Amino acid sequence: MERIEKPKDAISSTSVTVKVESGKGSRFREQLFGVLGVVVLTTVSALLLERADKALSLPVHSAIFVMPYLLGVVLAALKFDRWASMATATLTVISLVVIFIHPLFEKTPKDFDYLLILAVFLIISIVINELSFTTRKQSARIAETEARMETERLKNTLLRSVSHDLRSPLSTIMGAASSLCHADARELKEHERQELAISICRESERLDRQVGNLLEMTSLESASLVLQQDWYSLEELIGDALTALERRLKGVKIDIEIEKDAPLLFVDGLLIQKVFVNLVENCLKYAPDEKYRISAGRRGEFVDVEVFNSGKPISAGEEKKIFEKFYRGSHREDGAGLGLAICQSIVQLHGGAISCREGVNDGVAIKFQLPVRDDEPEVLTDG
Amino acid sequence: MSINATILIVEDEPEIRRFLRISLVNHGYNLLETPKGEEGLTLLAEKKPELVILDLGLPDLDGVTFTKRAREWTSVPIIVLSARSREQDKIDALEAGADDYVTKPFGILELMARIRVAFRHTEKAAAVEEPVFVTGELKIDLAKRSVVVKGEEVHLTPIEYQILRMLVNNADRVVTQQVLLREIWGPGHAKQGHYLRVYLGQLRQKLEEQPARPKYLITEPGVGYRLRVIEEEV
Repeated sequence: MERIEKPKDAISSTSVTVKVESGKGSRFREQLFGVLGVVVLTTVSALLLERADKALSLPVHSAIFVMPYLLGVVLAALKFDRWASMATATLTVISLVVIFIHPLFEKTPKDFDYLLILAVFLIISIVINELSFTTRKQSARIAETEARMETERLKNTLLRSVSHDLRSPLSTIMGAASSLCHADARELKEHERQELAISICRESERLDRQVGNLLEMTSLESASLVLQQDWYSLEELIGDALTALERRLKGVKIDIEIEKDAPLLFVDGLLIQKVFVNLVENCLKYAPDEKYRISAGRRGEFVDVEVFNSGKPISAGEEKKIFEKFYRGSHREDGAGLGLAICQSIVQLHGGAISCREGVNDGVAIKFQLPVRDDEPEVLTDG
Repeated sequence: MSINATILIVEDEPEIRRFLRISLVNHGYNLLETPKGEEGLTLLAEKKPELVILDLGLPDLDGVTFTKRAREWTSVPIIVLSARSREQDKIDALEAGADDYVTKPFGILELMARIRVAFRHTEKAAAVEEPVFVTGELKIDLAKRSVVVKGEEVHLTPIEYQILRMLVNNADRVVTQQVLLREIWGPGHAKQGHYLRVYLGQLRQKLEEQPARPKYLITEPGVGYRLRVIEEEV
């Protein structure tokens, strides 16, 4: 299905990363209230101290009035944005000047003292601001570097696994192809050459699938992934997936049981198709020549889908682990590692869940659920 | 007609040209090759090959431009080779006039099938048309407007029939969503793929033995649909 824009009346595509869009406006308001709060608190506490001093005649130097000021400035420098902490410092000075040095132009010596002290502290508060700002910037940078290092570490782990998963089929291809090139053509019998060629074909396809899975996983984990959702029927999602696997499904019988009148699903068609492809591929890979069944139907708020094969059941206790990336179970020789992890990612992105049904003795049943919406559109056809 | 026909390969990767050369020559075709788009257009005009295989990712001239320029004067069948998951490239090329596409990496069988279909359509264009189309157990009589599945007549709604007819006229070739929507619903509806999907679903219910595992009505994900021609009687 084409990744087209939806018609205007449909629900717009869901962004996977929830971006906080209203950030800027409310942040400004927060900071503004903070500034005013600190200014008011500082002034009030300075006033209270003055009154206390007068009332109790505490042997305190007048400079104590600027202690709350300093406190306010330091608090602002640590917590507020740069503009907000500057504003706090300046506004507090102004309010202290107004309150302690009034009327402004009757300069008594004591007032002059105050002015000097406040001027000094204004300078100090500017310095504190700058220092604090620099420190915060630096620690942000360090945190960023650490985060980047962690990502690097994860990437390296991924690369190692990937390298193994890609090298496996490549080894076969290189081996078979070089045998074809370098062996004396007369020494290889026709059927042997054919066998080598078939091997190269098969392993190339396997390599192709691995690359596809890796690209899929990368795109699913990218922060800029946007689901292109539209209404699909279960029939077409399954049908398109089976068409994609056609060559490998030649002659293979699959029971398909879709409940009549199952609801349409509002999903990203290409991604859900990938889920089916991966699940059926797993059946072919780990349970060749077995019985396969795909069943789907509505269960309350969800559509339940199950892909079943009659092969060797998953060992008890491993039912959750198989969805981990690059998980290699007891009988997994090659790196199917990403297939189920991709399914899980996709299903979860759609608000659903996937699991391996426990207690199944006659095979493996992978079940996933997708939420049903109640705004299914009615397409009036000419039927 | 197809044997001894000349095919022009416009592809910049020498390894791909190598295996194409070996296979196509093996099948009896004559070949012209070039890694450059401009040279390809020149060769097309001078030597007039019967089919063009065109890589969309050429360094000097993009495949869509090549197709547009070629289509200014020739209806030679053009099959494009495009990288996986560049769906828009394929759609653009098909809209510009390419006949079909193959996604890289591809196996030779897929390409050979596309080439055969392209030649078949060229022959059809030259010959007197046959109104009856048969694929597997499906028989469509375009003159009588009748559709028969496994010997039983099936009733299709007007739009279902229109869709089927367009797919039949392009049998085994991909028909893009845009073309289907435009032709049937009109130019303003190019973005309503959902309509198409509902109708295709209905068609599959009526014509396919297992609608959830279609044999004839194939989806080309992200691009459009294809009616498959099955040679043998199932």
